[in-house]
Amino acid sequence: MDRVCRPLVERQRTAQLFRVGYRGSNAWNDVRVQSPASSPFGRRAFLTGIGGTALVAVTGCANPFSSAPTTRTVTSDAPRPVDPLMTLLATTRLHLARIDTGLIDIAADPAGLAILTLIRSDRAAHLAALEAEVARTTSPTSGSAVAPPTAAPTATVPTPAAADILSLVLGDCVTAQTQFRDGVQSTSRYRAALFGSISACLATHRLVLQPS
Amino acid sequence: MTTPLTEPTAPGTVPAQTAPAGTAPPGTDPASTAPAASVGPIEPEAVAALQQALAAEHAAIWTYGYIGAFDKDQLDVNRIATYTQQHVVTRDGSIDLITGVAGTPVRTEVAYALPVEVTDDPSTSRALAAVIESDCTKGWRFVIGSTDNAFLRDFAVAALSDSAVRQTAWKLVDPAVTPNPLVPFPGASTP
Repeated sequence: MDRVCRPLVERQRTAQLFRVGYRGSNAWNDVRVQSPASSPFGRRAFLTGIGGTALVAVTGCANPFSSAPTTRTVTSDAPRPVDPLMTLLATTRLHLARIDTGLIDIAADPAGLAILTLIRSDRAAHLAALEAEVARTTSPTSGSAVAPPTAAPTATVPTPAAADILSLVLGDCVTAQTQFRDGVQSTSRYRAALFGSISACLATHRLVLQPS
Repeated sequence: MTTPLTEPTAPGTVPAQTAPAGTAPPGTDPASTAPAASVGPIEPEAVAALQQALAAEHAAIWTYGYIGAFDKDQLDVNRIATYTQQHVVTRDGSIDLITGVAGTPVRTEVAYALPVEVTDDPSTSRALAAVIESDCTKGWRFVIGSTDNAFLRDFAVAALSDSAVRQTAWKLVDPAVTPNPLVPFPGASTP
């Protein structure tokens, strides 16, 4: 193989070096270097051909001259979008707890109390619907453990004004509406309709809570 | 719910010049064909739901024109003008979506049977307006639950929210008539 693959240019060059004298000669750089293009069959071309043939033989596909249909399996590594149900459930639960706290603080303001009572009723209905959806799609044994009740904080905080309470609830409505609207995009059709409906309800809450 | 007084007409039998004002004939302007490239495919059941929502929008526009002849309260007049324009925008968007998937959008009817008798008392106009907005919320919620298309879902959620807000706004005008202006699940058949 060495005899076949050895480039002709290399042999010629070696012979030429010996002819002019490799050591002690000042003119060895004047030896004309022949172009590799003059080689009839280079080592690189030979190895490329061998390698390509072996690749086609091993894989058994990608033959450009074959008329047989080829099958390509593409595996996507992108993770599936996370269903936002549990996040929205937690958000609703948190906002409902804040409304409950606000109902206690706003008791002295009948108008604010009336608005907050209506909103609490809607948010409680949302929470019940979301919990029913969770219960519908999860097995009874996989329910989360109930956290033990914690002691109420004993620190005394000043009672906020009614306007501040309504402003806080309004901010929660804006947050929740955005979350529910975003959640419509990455869930099933039934849940999308539920989330969209709750998002629309929160839009009406914003209208009611807007300071006049 | 507002129901058309006449039988639904076949879309192909209606002359093109009877199209609602402000709407170009489908497929003749770039805007009506623009959604096809960006929206993506829409399921047949979603197109059917979209047609129902569009029919509700037609009814709402017609009804606002009707109550505008009775309700002379200045705030209500302004409200009617604003809300009519919002419904026109939603209707045109719906028509573009349907024509974008080579569908034929339903057309408005000549007249509709009203569920509330409208008199010179503005409260009757407001009650009717709240009913037609409720009809629209039902149509758009149905659209959301009929499709996996992200663009259509977003469009329907926006339309659903707008109708729910308008419905609440009408109820807020007469708190004595409707003590609770809120609906926990707008568009749901059983609130």
